[in-house]
Amino acid sequence: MNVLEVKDLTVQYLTSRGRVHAVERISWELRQAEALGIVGESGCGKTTVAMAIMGLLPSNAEVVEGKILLEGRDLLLLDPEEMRTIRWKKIAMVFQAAMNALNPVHRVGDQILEAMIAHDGELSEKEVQRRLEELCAMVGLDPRRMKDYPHQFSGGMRQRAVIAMALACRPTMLIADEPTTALDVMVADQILGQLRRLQVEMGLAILYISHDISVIARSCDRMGVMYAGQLVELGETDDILDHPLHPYTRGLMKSYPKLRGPKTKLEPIPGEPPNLMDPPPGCRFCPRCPDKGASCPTERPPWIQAMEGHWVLCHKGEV
Amino acid sequence: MIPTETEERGPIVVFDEVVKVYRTTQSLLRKSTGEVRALDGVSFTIQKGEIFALVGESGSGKTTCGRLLVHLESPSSGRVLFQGQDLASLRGRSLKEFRRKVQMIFQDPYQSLNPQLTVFQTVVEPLLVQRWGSHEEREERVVEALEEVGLRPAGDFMFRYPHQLSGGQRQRVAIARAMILEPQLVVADEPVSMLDASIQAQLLNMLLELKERHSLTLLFITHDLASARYLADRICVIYKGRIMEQGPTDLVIENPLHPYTRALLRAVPTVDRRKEELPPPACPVDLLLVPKAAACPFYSRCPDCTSRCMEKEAPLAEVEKDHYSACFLHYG
Repeated sequence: MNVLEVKDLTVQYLTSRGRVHAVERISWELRQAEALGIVGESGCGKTTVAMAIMGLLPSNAEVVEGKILLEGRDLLLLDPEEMRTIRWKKIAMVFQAAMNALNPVHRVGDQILEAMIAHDGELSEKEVQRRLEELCAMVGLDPRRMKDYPHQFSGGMRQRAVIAMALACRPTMLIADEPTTALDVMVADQILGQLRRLQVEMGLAILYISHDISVIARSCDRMGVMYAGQLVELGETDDILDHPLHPYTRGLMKSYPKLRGPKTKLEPIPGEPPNLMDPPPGCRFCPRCPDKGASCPTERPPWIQAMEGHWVLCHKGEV
Repeated sequence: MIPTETEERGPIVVFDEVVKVYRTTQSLLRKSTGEVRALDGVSFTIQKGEIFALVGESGSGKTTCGRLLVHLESPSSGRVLFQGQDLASLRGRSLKEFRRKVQMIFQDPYQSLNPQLTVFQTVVEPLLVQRWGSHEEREERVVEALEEVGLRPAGDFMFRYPHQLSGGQRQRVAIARAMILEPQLVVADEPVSMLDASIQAQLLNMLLELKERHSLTLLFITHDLASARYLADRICVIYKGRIMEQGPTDLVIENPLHPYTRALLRAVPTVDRRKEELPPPACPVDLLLVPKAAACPFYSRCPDCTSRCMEKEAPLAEVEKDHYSACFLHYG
């Protein structure tokens, strides 16, 4: 069963200098209790997709095409009031560097409660306390610390508090946009472990968004790779990491220094991503691609299922 | 790594029991309210021509080491030596000479470049400060430096401003500026961590090439063990102002000795290790006991912690050849 379906989503930004083709015809589905990761470099459109799902796109964004289906309803057609009931109650989000978003002059516990009350209405004192303790247990916080202020929390604890806020209304899915980018390695590892536990033990569907392929590799059942506004590969995490099909995915994997195994020379992808004001007409990766063919510069590549459940956007995608 | 002439071997940098204390003050009355020991008796040497990586989490003191080494700050006690000279003794001409020989690359190319200067003005500035050559010679030198860092043809970039460049290009400009005076030592503080993976790889390879071509010595400061492994000849792991472990890269990565290094290595997500869950490290020590200031900084998170660790941190011990660790585990 799918929790969320994104179909042919195309988003453009209107700026004073022109139209930015930020996201182009992206389709994927998030299944029940699954962790799906979207990996891509800065400016590839991954956060735009998350904002479109949350109904939080800036005013200069235009959804040109596509649907975002949640339980059969297209979120893009909802009015702001309806969207408000879905946000947080159905779909919650942990933003990039969200731990800096806690209000410094309110107690952490009160801020979590506020999220609960704002979306769930008045609750009895007892119910509130019970749910607060339940949330603390879920994210690994000491309930006795709920009377503390954010500055008394470490970065990792603040991130846990933000996750508790996101879970306050028992959403069916969570979007985690760079959930560990600002944290130290060991703390990041604990947070990712905690999220994994929530996903596996409580059946929470999580959409991870990260620039770091290793974070996605650690946490996700399936993953998608975005480049310059397009989804270029989608499939089981193990399949993609073992047999990357898109030249960009292959290049990305060769760009990361490895901690284990023999030391190999890094083979960076030459060049830089295209300007999305004027993207290449055919395959957007073509100018940097080591395997380009005759049709690549001019024709949009087909979205091919190369293997069972493993899709790739490439003229040479057939295995 | 092998220098062309054997007599050139030897330490180019020595940190000798360096302590750096920052005082925290209440702004209104300038009253001292406490102190932070950013570095607490740090000693290491960097050999000429090597890449030495200082690896640590935020607050470990790794950046403080870099700032002390380029003489932006002075140690509270202990000495920092460059080519045998105590930095505290440098004055006048010898200080200027030092500034020519030692350069720094900062983490954030969005903040380290002056937005009002063109690429040419940014890169030529050190030459002007050092009163180097004629105008034509300087221009030629800038072109050479820009092309060397991959900004080709240099003419396309010289008269652009930072906002017209991508993050990767900006960092290349910062590297060109650091390299233009032909320094002997470069301190690179997280030089790639703000950049995307494919650009990171380009710059890491470029640093390796520059180091080879100019027989540079490089202090590479990072939180990322994988890039330290890729670049460095030796790795020094630092935590809360103390050195935990130090040794040749392969030994530290493949046979980590200190429990802190082991925990760090386990925590790093990598493409080659997936989804295995690890139990959180147990802590057998009663946290209510107040540790001594000299306690091992890692004791409260250490799975191998004993009561001894709360009294005093073990001194660095050479456990195998050139491989040091500061842990009582190795003392039997």
